[in-house]
Amino acid sequence: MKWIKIKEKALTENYVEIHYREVDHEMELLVSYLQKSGILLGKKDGQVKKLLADDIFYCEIVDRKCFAYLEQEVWILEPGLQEILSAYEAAGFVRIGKSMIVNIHKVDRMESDLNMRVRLYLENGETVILNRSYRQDFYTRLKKEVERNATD
Amino acid sequence: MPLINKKNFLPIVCMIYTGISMGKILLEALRGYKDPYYSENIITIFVITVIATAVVGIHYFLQNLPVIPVILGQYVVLLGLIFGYLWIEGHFSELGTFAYRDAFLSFTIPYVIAAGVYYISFFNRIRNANKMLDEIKKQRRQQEWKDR
Repeated sequence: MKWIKIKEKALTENYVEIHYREVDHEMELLVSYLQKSGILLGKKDGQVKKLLADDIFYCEIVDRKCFAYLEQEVWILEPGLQEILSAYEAAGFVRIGKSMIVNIHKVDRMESDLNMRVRLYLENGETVILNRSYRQDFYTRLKKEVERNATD
Repeated sequence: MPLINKKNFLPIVCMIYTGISMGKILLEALRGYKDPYYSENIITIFVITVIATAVVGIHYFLQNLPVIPVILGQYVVLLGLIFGYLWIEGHFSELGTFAYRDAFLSFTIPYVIAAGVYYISFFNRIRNANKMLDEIKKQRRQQEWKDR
C-alpha cells in the first residue's frame, strides 16, 4: 500500500483519509489501528475534552456516573461501561469488576496478597482490585492480546 | 458462571462417588482387607459426596468474600455436616471405634491437598499473567518502533 504524509500547518485538527479498492487484510489492520485510537468525550465542570481511549487507565461507575481515570486527570464520560467495552475493546479495555473496566495496556504488574485478592498496579502508580468473578476473563483476554499482537 | 449448577450437580456427584468407591474397593483388594461396615461406608461415601459437592458448589456465590475465610468456613461447615451425619447414623447402626477420627482424616487430607493445589495454581496463574503483561509491553514497544 502506498501512503502519503503531508504536513499542513493551517490544519486545526489532524485527519486521515483512506483510499481503497477493496478491504483487504492490510486495510483491516489499518482500520483496526485507527479504531483503537478511538475518541471519547469527557466532561468536567462545564468543560468538554476529547479523550483518547488509549489514554484512559480505567473507568469506574460511581453514583451512576461513569468516571474515566487518566494518568492524572478524571473526566466524566457519557457512555456506560458496557458501551465503552463494546466500542473500544480493541483499545485494551477489559472488565475487572461489576462497576469497573481497566485498560490492559496500562497495567504494569499484578500481585496477590495472602488472602488471594489480586491487585493490578497501573503505570500511574494507582492500584485497582481484580474481582474474582472476572479473573478468568482477564487471563483469557491477556492471552488473546499476546496472540493478536504476535500475528500483527 | 458457576462450575457446579443444577444441571450438572447429579452427574458430578455420580462421577466423584464412582471414583471414591472404586478407589476404596481397589485399595481394599490390594491390602486384602474386608470392610466389616461395607454397606454403611458405601452410604456414608454417597452422603459425604452429596454434601461436599453442594458446599463446593456455593463457592462461586461467595466470590466477594476473602478466600481464606471461605475455604476455612467451608471446611468447618463440611466437617460439621459429616460429623452430624455420623451422629445420626450412630443412632441407627453401630459405628466403628474410630469412626469420627477416620472420617476426620478421610475428609481433611484430601481437602488440604485440594486447597494446596488451588493455592499453588492461583499463584502460578499470577506469575504467568505477569509474563504475558511483560510480553504485551514488549510487543507494543516493537510496534511503536516499527510505526516510526
